[in-house]
Amino acid sequence: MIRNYLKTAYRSLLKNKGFTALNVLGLSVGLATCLLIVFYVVDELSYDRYNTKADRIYRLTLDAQLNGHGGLYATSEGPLLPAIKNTFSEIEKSVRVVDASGLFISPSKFYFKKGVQNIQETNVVYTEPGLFDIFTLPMVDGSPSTALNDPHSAVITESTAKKYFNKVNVVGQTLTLNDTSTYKITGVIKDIPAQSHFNYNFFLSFSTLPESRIGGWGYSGVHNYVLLKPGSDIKKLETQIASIEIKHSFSAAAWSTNGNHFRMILKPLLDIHLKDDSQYSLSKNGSMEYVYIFSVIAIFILLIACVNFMNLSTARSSKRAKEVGVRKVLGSARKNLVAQFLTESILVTLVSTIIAVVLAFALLPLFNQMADKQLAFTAQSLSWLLPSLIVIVLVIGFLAGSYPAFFLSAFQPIDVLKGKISTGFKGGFLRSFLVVFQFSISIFLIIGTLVIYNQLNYIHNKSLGFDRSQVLVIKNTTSLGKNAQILTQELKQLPGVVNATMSAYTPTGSDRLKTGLFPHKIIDIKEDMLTEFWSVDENYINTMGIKLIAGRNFSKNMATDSSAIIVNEAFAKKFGEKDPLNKIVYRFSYGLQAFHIVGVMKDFNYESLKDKIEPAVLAYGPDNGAISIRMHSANLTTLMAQVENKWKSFSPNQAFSYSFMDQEFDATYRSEQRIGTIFIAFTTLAIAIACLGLFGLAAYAAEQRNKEIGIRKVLGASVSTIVSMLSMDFIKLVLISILIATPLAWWVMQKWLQDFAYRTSIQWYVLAMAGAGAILIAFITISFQSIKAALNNPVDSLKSE
Amino acid sequence: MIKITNLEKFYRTEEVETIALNKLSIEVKTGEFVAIMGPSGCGKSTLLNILGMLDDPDEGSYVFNGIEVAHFTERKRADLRKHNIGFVFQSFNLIDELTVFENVELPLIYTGVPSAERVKRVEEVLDKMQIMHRRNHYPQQLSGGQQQRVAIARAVVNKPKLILADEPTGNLDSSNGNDVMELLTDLNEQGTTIIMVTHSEHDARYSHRIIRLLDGQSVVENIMV
Repeated sequence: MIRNYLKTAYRSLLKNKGFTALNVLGLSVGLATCLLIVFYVVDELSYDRYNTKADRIYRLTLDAQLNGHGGLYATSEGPLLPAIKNTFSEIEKSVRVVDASGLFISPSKFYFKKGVQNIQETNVVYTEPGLFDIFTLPMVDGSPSTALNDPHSAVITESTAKKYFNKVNVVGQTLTLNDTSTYKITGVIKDIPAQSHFNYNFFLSFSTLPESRIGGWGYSGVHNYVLLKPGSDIKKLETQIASIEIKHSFSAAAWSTNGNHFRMILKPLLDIHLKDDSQYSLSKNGSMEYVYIFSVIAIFILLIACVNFMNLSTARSSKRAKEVGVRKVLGSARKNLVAQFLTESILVTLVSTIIAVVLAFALLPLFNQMADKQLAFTAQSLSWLLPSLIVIVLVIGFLAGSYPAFFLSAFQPIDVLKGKISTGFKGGFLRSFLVVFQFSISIFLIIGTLVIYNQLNYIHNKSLGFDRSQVLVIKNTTSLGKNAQILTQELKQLPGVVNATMSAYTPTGSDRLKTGLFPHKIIDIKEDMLTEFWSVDENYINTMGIKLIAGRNFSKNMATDSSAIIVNEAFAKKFGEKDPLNKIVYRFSYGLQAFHIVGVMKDFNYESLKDKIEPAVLAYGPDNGAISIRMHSANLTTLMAQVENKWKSFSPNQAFSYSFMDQEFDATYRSEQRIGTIFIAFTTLAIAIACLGLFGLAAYAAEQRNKEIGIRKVLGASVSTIVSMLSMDFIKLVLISILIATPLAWWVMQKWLQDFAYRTSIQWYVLAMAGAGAILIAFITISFQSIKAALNNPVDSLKSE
Repeated sequence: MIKITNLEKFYRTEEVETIALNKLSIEVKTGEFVAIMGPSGCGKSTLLNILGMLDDPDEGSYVFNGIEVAHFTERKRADLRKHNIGFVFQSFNLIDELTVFENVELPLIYTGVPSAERVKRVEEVLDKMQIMHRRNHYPQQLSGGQQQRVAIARAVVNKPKLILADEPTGNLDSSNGNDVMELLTDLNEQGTTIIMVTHSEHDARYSHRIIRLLDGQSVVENIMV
């Protein structure tokens, strides 16, 4: 029996090559897309799962609000863990991790010596031996329990060992950091899996840092992780830990007034990658939102493909009706027929799935590039892929085949054989519903794509308050020491260089420094004006193209300018003085310092446009972290070569590392850019698959109404009347889809735009364009078939009856 | 073998009720060859469908081989049908996707005949119908006459007691038509009961008895000599 099913299915599919091709094409493209998205989603969801104790690992996360600013912080205080680890029996192990970047730790930049060259490394961290008890980081050389005990010990990854020593077993060797200190390698671990919220190559012993010995409260730049015993009461522990932090804070009372609060959150390790909004998190986190969005898109695309399959099968059912009738007359039971049709659709799904796997495999590198991932087909992925594919084949095959299977098999044989089953095309409510469904999704995706692109365009063209074009940023100038200033002067002399300034803090860079400024000499924590505080020179404002709206720039000739600051509008507003010029503000660090305001500059965007511009202050003082030069040159290549030569003359051993400000700016929006690209790709696919279905449906509609068309032509209908008659049926459905999808898309995209402090609004013409586009695409798809049908000689269609 | 009494069948649309069979009573004995004739719309096909258990009557009784089947469920009818009745249609109704051999084999599959036995019986009947050489061809590759031979082969492969033929020569030229009628006569002589609907007086002459229908009623019965 099964053989008979397979045989009939195979031949029937082969006979209707067009139908089969449409189905297989649509389904395999849909499935391939789905597979890629599933890979992406699985990858996102697998973060940190390599840790065997993952479900018991938590990161201490601060939720603090003080005088209107604050938020969630991935870091907490350094002395906290030693203070609590023996107090609370729930804590099995704990570890402190100090990521140096941007957290006031010295050194903040790491250059390791290999031969004569200093290589800058960014994935460096200070931590404790407990790390290896908590996280699953297998050590291939050295002893995990003691490796990070002593000051100036280092554990490195296998690939780092190979990079610096060309071998793996390097315990006992030394590494020189920043030409000043030496670290002894005490362990080599396997490379950390890519799906990890931190990814370091160098683990330096925390005991090296002076902070580890001073142990004073007040420094909250430490990532604290704990391994809890099974069954611990998380809520209770959070409250207990918070009370200890509050006890040691500057003023325990301050946290309970003015709407201020201080809470401790034990963030589960497995939530860090996707569900963590805290600042200073150890890696650029993914977003659960995008995981959801992509999953939904994957399901949509798969649904569109399935709908195609169902629609084409039912449209074709009239053709199969005779076969059903004959088989029933010959004694076939209904279940045999159901099995027969299901076999056919499962066969199609199976073939499509195989093609889809091959397709997904071929497209993986492209998708990786698009999504910035390193996804791969591995033996491990096969272990879940294979069973799920079998399920997919069965489910989709059943789903897509069920309507024809159960619908057709219910035909009374006699009705079919006598042609009494009205196989009229218009009657298919389900079919209309499915077409509306497909096109609603497509229109939704079109609107989504247009809005994303408009927003990206807006960001790209928005005036930022500084001029990012033609600004070259030379990095790693710290190693030049005092010479950095001389290099800046010399670069300024080069023909084609308009201006040059020396400061690590650039509007598009990642160096930031927050500090608290106070309006009065007597420091009251309630009056804290938290602000960015950047040390710059007198050329900074001109080089960056920042506008002064009041007061003056810093001047070399004013001796008092060493304590001068220029504030932005946002700071001025927070400061609250009508005329902030010449007013004094105070800072309390290393003693009380006073600054006088000499200028007010226009607000400029130095963070993502997702955020409002926050207070920022420029202070006059040397910072040799980077040199920015504004260029105006027709021949950039020559100028770049000259700049590089200058660099070489100052620092022969150090690689010339630079970037352009506009590129740095674009990089900030790379994730949005990526989402945009992926959206476009998916939208195109969804529409293409939907059109495949429409194409097939139009073909069957035309075929069904062949005789009607013939009669109409005999009676004098023109080709255009017939084309519009055939097209109208479908265009109506697309119109309904527009009515459904447009408000929905508008609402969802409005929500997405809320994420941006600076955003475009959704213009009516975007919605109109999406609708018109959908109609146009649908019309082109249908008209091919309609015109073909309308051009037929009516004699042919009438004779065949 | 067949006894119908006061059989009635109506077709209703929203506005009109058409009476297809009006208190019709007919009896057909085992081994008979009966032709049913009449103008279009007289109820011939309706009668044949009810006799073939493809349709059920609204009123009246239908006794097949001593069993009252008038109000059998679809499933029970299908079961009775597949073991006892073979159908021959005007438009052959072969399945395009299956070869000659497979088309003929189909009823045997549905009645659960084992594979080896099926091959034997299909070959036997194809041989008898002289289309053995076409066994691996598809219906579209055959002439009309050959297709109808396949259809007859398919109708008899299960050794049914009754063959219902609905204008079996309607789509054939006269020479092929005669061949088909000869075949049916042979089958009848070997013991199969045949009921045939036809428009052709020529074909009707092959039968033992002609029942003429008009407006759902039997008006004349001619006994052929």
